[in-house]
Amino acid sequence: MGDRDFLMTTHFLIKKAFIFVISLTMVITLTFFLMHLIPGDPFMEEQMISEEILKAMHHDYGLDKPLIMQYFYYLKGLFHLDLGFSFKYQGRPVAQIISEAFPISFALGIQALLIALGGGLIGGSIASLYHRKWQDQAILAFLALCLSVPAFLSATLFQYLFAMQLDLFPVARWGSFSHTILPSLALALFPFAYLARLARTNIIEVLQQDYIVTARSKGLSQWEILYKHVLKNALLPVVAYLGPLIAAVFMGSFVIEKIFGIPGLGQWLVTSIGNRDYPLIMGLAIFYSFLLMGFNFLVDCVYYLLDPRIKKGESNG
Amino acid sequence: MLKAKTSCLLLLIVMVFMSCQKKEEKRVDTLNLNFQEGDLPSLHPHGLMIYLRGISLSKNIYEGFTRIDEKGLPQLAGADSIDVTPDGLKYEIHLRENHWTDGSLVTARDYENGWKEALSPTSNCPRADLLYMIKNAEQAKKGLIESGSIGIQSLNDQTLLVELAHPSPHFLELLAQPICAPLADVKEKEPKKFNGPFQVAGWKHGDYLNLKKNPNYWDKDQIVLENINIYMVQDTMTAFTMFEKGQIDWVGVPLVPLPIEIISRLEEKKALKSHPVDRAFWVFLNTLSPPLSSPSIRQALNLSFDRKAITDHIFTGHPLKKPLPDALLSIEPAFEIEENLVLANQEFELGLEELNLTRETFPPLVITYSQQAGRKQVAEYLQQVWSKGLGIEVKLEPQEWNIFRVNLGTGNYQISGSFEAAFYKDPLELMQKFATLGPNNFPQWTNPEFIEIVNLARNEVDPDKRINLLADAEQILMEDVPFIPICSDEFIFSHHTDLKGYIFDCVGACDFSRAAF
Repeated sequence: MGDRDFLMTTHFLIKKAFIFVISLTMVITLTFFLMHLIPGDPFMEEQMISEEILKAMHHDYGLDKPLIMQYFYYLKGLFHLDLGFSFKYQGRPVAQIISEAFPISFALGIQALLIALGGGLIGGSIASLYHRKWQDQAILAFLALCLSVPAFLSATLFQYLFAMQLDLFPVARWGSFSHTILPSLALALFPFAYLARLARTNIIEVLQQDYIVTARSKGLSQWEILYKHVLKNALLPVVAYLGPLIAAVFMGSFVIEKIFGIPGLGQWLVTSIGNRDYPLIMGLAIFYSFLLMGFNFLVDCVYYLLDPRIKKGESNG
Repeated sequence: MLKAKTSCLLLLIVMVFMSCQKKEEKRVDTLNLNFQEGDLPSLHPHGLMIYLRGISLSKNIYEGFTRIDEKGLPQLAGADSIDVTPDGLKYEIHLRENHWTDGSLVTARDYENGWKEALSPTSNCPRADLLYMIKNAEQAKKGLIESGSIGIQSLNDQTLLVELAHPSPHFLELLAQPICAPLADVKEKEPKKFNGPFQVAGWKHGDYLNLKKNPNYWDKDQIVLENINIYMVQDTMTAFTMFEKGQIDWVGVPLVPLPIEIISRLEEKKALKSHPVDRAFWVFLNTLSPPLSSPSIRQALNLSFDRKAITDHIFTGHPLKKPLPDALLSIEPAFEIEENLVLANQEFELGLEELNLTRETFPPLVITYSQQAGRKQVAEYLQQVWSKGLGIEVKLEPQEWNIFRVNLGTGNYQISGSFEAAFYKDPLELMQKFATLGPNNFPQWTNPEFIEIVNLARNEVDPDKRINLLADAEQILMEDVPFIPICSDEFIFSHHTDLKGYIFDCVGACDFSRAAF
């Protein structure tokens, strides 16, 4: 049985890895050609650059070569793990820009995720306890509100209320722990509400199962039941949602970072497109895709390991 | 469970309490600024030339031969004395004793190397054309001549000899710009040594740039500030909130243009300040695009509307009655640009005849505009007035900034408006763009008489004759209308109530080095 499990797992892993590589290649190719399709010039600024200087710059950066050559040249660089240098921030490697800014976005994202996960599970559990009572409806209404408020609105509201008017937290920027609270709360609002509703639905469903009735008849308290039996089962859909959740947190972080003046990756992504900073755009697109697909891959693995039904399904199919 | 819940709640309260803000006292030796348009790509003086906040920054970390004072006049700074020959072509510049941040002496060689680096055919200096008044500079940049032939020569450590291609009464003003800053090491892409009133104390890309007073600066006793902290918060409302809370001391140009909502908020508080700048908004007409090839049609467009509506509601500043703002060229023209629908329609009829068209067959015109504040409203206004006054159909086309800019330079547009700024108070600087065909001549306009007068003016030594020639050139611009002058610009900003001692130059950059509270 051990051998069979090992083979199945390997088969699963190889399949997922293959899809990963294909998707990443597609992202690189599409981004590269789409990016060059947009009219505009990386070296255009407010002041006009003379023609000869512009030509020299294009030549320096290989932009006067045919597009397909530039593409292969870029791929060659990627094989050597070289993301190149930014056009606008000359002399600064793309990898350096990303490695300086990413830890900040990461910290923000992780904090928001933890708040969302913790808050969502607790909130969902509490809501499920009041199922079919008025408190449940109240909680659902509150969660619906959280879901419909867009990130920039919650961020601006929190900033206005808690930073501007009440002076409890800094208005913007990053540095101390208090700088992280408002942005991560604003970022966590939507995923928290989504997870709370998801958890609540699944917990209620599981609570109606036969084995729960058995546990209750054994005399276990509601909380003990929740903890011992329900949460593990209710956790599965939450884990499945982790992939899109992380994506949502990443995307939401751009807006949050802008409003709170946080020096994360978000600002680079937005400005690099307007600047036509090709290497930076490519580097960021690859980095994000790698991250997201990597996370999804991990989540798939966790789900695979957690749910015996999947493994069984594989062996039957 | 209850214990866990209570302890969680307690923990939360403690955390919130701990992170509460303490009221910070305003430090009078520190100036806090915000680069709302984002971080600068580099601190190299050549790269800083293309950003208004970059030029402002360079005044703090570099010291050129001159520095602009409150009256807009160049005063000796890095130079001790400057001798000019009577023909206005040779400048002998004597350096003042000044040191780099590492203690080494600033030499004439440092200036020579910096300028020649800007003029090297392989370097990326975007505004090298500002140095083309130096002998052989343009040819060297184009790779046609050796850099040794450029009219820049260090006679010794303390003396620099500069030879111009033609006399320029504003050369001393140009010396204050970052393109004329010295470079300690031309091979360094990011300069590590500075010779200005401040030096770089710390730079975290995209986060902050901190300057501290330079103890090696020759005039350090005049510098009151100890620190200048520059943040990079890019959201308008967030930055304004920080300003209202006193966390940053300046909002508005030269760091970022203010949006209407904030202007009105500041107006209510009577905190709004303004400063005239040598910038003008011109609506360029592509003279190669029919039907704009006819000067009469262009004149008709020029005379058919009132500019006051634009300066009252859209832009700040004053309506232009002639192409150049009075600050640049104050000679009264033969006639002023005014709304005159009768004359406009007459010109229109003449133009129609010339092109063999009728009012019915006249094609629709296309105005392209970029996404900055006010451009859309100006385009809509022109569409309205030309339709009502001349019966011309006008289409509007928004374009992203980068695309808009490229199209202006390549002549891929019909009617587009843009601000033009002068780096120094010489009308020739803005006018000479129209004397040759190239990416700077947006209207793609050729007028032999204009070209001749500009060339004469360029080589004229006598300042009175020169200014009269330039006034004649301006007259041709008024008659031939390669662009429609709309208004001159005014910078709007606000700052901490106690801040004083900041100095604007004519392009609108601000020198904070002598500021104080």
